[in-house]
This record gives sequence, C-alpha cells and structure tokens, in this order.
Amino acid sequence: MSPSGAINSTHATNAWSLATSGEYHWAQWNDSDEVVLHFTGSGDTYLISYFGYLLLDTLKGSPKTAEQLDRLISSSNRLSDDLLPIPKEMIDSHLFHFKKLGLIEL
Amino acid sequence: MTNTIGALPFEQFSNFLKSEGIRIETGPFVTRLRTKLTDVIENLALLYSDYPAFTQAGFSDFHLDIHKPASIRRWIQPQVNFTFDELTPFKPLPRPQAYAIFEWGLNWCISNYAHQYLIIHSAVLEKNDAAIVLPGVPGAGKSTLCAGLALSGWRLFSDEMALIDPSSGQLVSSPRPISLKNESINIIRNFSSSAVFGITINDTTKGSIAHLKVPEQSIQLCNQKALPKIIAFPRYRKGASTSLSPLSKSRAFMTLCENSFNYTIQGKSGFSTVKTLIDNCDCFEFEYSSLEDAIRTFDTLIEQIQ
Amino acid sequence: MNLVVQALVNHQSVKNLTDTQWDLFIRQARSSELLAHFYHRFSAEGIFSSIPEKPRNHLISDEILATRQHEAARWEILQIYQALEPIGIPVLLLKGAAYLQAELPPAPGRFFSDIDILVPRTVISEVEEKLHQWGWLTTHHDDYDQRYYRKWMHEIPPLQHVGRHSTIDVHHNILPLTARLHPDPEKMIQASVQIDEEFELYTLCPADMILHSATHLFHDGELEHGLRDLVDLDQLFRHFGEDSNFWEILINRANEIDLSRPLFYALRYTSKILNTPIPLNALQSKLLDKPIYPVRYFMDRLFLRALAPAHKSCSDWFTGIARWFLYIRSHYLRMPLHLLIPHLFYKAYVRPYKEWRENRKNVLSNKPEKKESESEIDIFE
Repeated sequence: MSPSGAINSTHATNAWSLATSGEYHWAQWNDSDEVVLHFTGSGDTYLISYFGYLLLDTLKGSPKTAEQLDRLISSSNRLSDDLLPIPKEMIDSHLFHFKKLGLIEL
Repeated sequence: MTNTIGALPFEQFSNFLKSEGIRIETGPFVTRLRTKLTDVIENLALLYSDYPAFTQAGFSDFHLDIHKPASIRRWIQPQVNFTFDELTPFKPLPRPQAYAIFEWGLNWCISNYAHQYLIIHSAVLEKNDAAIVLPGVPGAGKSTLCAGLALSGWRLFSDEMALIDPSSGQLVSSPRPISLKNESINIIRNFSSSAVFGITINDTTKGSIAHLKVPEQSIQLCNQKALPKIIAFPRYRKGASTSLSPLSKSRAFMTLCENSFNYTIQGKSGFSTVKTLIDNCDCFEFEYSSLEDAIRTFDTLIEQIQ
Repeated sequence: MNLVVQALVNHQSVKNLTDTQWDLFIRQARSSELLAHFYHRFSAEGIFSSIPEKPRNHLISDEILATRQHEAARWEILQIYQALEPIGIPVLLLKGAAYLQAELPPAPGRFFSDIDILVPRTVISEVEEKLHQWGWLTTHHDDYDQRYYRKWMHEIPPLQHVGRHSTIDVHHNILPLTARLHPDPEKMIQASVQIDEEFELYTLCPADMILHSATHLFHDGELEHGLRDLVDLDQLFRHFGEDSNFWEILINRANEIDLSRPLFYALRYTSKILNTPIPLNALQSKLLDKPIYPVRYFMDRLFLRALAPAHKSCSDWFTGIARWFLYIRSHYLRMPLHLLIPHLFYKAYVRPYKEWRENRKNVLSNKPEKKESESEIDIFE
C-alpha cells in the first residue's frame, strides 16, 4: 500500500533524494555484487542488487531526476557496457520500489 | 555453596523442586525451577546432573513453574502448564509433554528477555578455540549434526541459540540437553555408545522427541567464550553426498537475520554485530546424509582455519 | 515489600540491595513495565555501573527493546503525518507518542503499544479514508463493535497497518461521549502546541497533557499499567512544575475543561506514593473538586493498592477486590447504567457465543482457530 499518485518519476522536474528520516548503513564483500543495506528509519534490512546500489549511491549529495541518474550512471564506468543503455523501466521500477520502502523521497 | 545437581541426594533435590524450588545454572543464566511432577524431576536428575545448582535464595534470571492447571480438565484430559514468574505465555500442553514444556519454555524466556545478546536460531560448537555456527530452520538436520559433533570431541555451546555478545563479537556458551526428533533419536543412539538420553515424549507437534545429555566437559568449560569462524547452513537430504558449497557473504547475512530472534530489535547495533560476525567467518551451505562424513568435513575445515 | 516504589522515590536505595532483593526488584519492575525506565533513571543518577551484572543485564535487555520500539514509533508517526498531510489539519499526538516526539521526561524507556492521535470530529471520516489508503485498516469487523464505537466512544475502532501491524487509535475526544465528565476537545485542540517547526505535529499544552494523563488513569479504568502511568504524571509534574506559576494555571484549566476531579487524584497519589514535590497550596487548593471525606478515605484504600506493581509480592487479600472495584467504577463513569448493563451483557455472553459459533464454523471447514492471547509454542524444533 502506498499513496497513489504520489509517485511520478516520469516527470522531468521531479528530483529524487535520499530519505532524511534515517541513516543508511551498508555492508558489502568482494565475493558478490549484492549489497546489504540497513536503513535506521524503518529499521529494515535489505539485500540490494548492484544496480539498486548504484542508484542510491548516485543520489548521495544532491537530489537528481531519473534522467540525471541515467546519465550519471551510464557515464560512470561502474556498469559493464553490455548492460547499457539502461532501460528506462528499470530505473523507474527501482525508484518506485525504493519510494515504497521509504528509502527515497521526492 | 555451589554443588552440582548430581552431588545432591535425589530425595533432597526432589524436595527442593517441590517446595521453594532449585536454582540451576546454565552458562550465563540461572533458572529457578519449581515442579511437583515426578517425570520432570527424574528427567532433570538424569540430564542436569553435571550442572551447578543452588538451594539457597539469590538472583535468578527466570522463575519457572511446571504444573498441572487447576481446572476440571485435569481429570478428563490431563494437561501441563508453564509459568514464567506470574505469566502464562502458552496454552497448556498434554500432560506427557511436561519435560518438553520446560525446555521450550526456558528457550522462550531467553529469546524474549536476553536482548543483551544477538540471538540466532542456531547450533554452536567449538574446537581449537574456533566456533562454528549452524543456523537452521526446523527439520534441516541441525540438531542431529550438532549431537554428532558434541559426541565427537566438539564442545557444545548450544543446540538452539547462538548468543553473541555485541561488544566483543564473541559467542557465549549456554549448553543444554539437545532435543532430537523421530529418526534422529535412533541415529544418535547408534552413532555413539556414550549417548545418554532422557525419556522419549511421543505425540508432540514435532513428533517424538528425546533429549540427549550434554557431555560433562562442555558444562565445565561453559564460561569460556569463543570467536566464530565458520557459518554453515546445514540441510539433511536422504541419499545426498556430503557437500560444502561457499555462500556469498551478503546472502549469508540475510539468511542469518531471518534466523535471528532479535535482529530487528537490536537495530543499528544488530546490523554491525552481524556484519562483524560475517566479516570473521567463512560462509557455506552444507548438505549431508552421512553423519560420519559430515563430522569429518567439519573436523577438516576447522584444521584448515588454524 | 514494594522495592520498585522505594527505588522510584530514592534511587540510591538500590545500592544496598542484596542479590535476593535484586531478584524481587527485577520481577516487580518487569510486571510494572518499568525495567527500561529504571535503566535511564539509574544511568542519569550515575549509579548504573554499580548495579550487579545479572540484574543489570535485565535492565539492558529491556532498554534495547524500548529503544527499538521508539524507533519504530517515530517511523509510524512520520507515516501518519505523511498520510494526513493532504487534509491540512494539525496532527495532535497523545500519551506515549507525544512524550516521545516532544522528548519529555516520561519518554526514555517507556513502552506504548499504540499511537494515539486526536483530530477534530468533523474530519474523522477523511482521516480514516487517508489512513486506509496508506494501509491502516480497521481491526473490529463485528457490527456491534463498530456501532458501539461510533455511537458512544471517544475514538474510532483501532486501525492496524497491513504490513507493519502497527496500531493507531484515532480520538476525537478524550472521554467517551457518555462519560460523567465533559471535557471540550475543541478547547484542547485550540490550546495545542507545535512540537518542532519542521513538521505540523502537535501535543496538548502542558496542563492539558497532565489532565489527559490523569483522566486516563483515574477515570478511565486503565489500571493494568497503573504504576507506570503514575510515574508519567510524576515526571510531568516535576518537569512543568519548575515554573512556579504552573500550578495555578493547571488547576484553573482543570475547572475550565471539567477535569478537576481526576487532577485531584493525580496530585494526591503522586505525592502520596512517589513523593512528587507538589506545592502545599496546590494540594489544598479550594478550587479542586475533592470528594467528600468518606469517599476519599475509601478511594485511598483502593488506589493505594491498585497503583502498586502488579506482582504477587505487592498484593494482599484486598488488592484483587480493589482492582475489580475500580474496573467496575470506570465503566460506571463511562456510561449511564441503562447503556452499561446491555453493553456488559453483550461482552460477557453474546460475544463469547458468537466467537464460539465462529470457531466451530472454522473447525468444521478446517480453518485455523481465532488467535488467542496465549500462543502455541512453535518457535523451536
């Protein structure tokens, strides 16, 4: 259940930022590219894909729109070439999911 | 005055349990137990003979009472009740399960009232100062493996709960009789002639269960903590060949959390405790069907760790 | 022996406890839900490290639980705030949630199971709808309950979140509409104060906060956590009473919103039991609505027992009767008899019958039985 209508990442002016209601604690090891995230706001712990991790990591510092995230990640060399270009739905579905978990906000 | 239960004459032990209770020490916990039920008293005298006990008053972590409920049903369909101080947390069980309700109830107390530890549903054993953590869902064959190792020179910390001290990352030992189910009881009887079992309790929700007595040395050394070195998620599968396959640390992290009683309660501290634990350990998925092979595998693994 | 009250009055008294007394202290404090509270009191006094390790562990364990509960509650408050933001009304927190969000002295180590909010009665259906959209659904599906709540009560049936299982109590008044006393919720909402500038989150003003807590304890029959609620009042009196004008404001406000009697009891029993420093002129104020002497004498006998820790070591033959009598009294104060008797009859006879019928239906169709408060042991192999 999430507030309907509150999510509209397709709108170009909508900039996302990391939630301010909690701290992000990460755990990662070199035996896999999945990352563990503990968010103190909700108190939940998640196993996050490498791509999800890149999205959240790129949101550090300042708010960014989905388009900016796409550009920044595509040009960062952190994603292997065969995964490019990043499908738009992939970014949108991640952002939608993270919003639902309270990890990011508009 | 500290004495083991075995050093008390049975008559005296029984009288204390029936009146003001007796205080039994299992590692970091002292439980004051009262009961008038003779099957419980006899099983305790057998399985807890090597544990320190106190007959005088003092501090107890848990005040437990195993008794028959005072209802009309006591004549029609006899039952047994568990109380923790003045709390009755569970529905009564059929009367023959009195001893089991004591062991289950004490586990319940620890997992609900000892949040000074991160607690994982897991067997823990130690050899050469290194501990292995064997977390497992019911039916995974964790207790059988645990019993086999405990009867093969490994020191038992617990067959149900890994207690981790968040400040040091060390495992704390609280050895208690190992609860075995159904076929596992005979597997262990056949495995070792030194295995001592309490009464068999039939028709529980888990089937038949019996408790294996803890080797004396595990009780005597229970004040010695140990650092965890290996985490293995065991799975018994009939006919399977023994296989130890590496598990990614982030996956192991999540599975460990799922098997924890109080990970979410510990918040940020729980996260860093599990992170340190995973940092220090090699993580595996372990499948087996032969107990002998399984024990050999862990003996070899612990040698390599050194 | 009541070691808990002794320690509340004089923290230093625990320094001399024997192991056996510590044992009793921990049990009494646990049954009063005050273990985590003591963790904070002893830490603040600098005596925590002098406590023997074993009892100390029980205080630590409970404190960890309380801290987690507070973190979860802060998250829930944020979710409620976001859900209700579009309505444009201030979200007014009550009781435990208010102490926590406003960082008031009762908060550290205090457990509370539900989040209580107060909203104007005119927007109650809008509030319910918004909360529904965010996943909070009603817990009472029984038609009788729904009708009963909506017709007579000061709150709607509790709402529970589908995913997180957190519970909200949405109030539009602080006492049932049928109650003997008639505080005006409009006045209380008008006087409410914003907690911090960032969010539109409010608490009752200090006087109203105390009056609400007193009403809840002495008029509403919630004596399960009687001692803990008395400790809340003690902490609030000490905190707000630092301003010497506060007592006069408090007593005047109590008369203004028809809550003078509960205030009288709050002042009387915090000072009697917990030595709360209340000025004599407040205790003896002519403006307080005091019961006549024989009633006062009788209420003393009842409350002094009912407010002890709910542990057998603090009970005598009369304790159970006292609690039972106060329970009946609270129902009587909530409702006129011609409504109360049918209601209690329904609760005692009609509902158990309906539940029995419901369970039998489930058994016949192999559905699991309704959950009871006691659980089956099923967590261990």
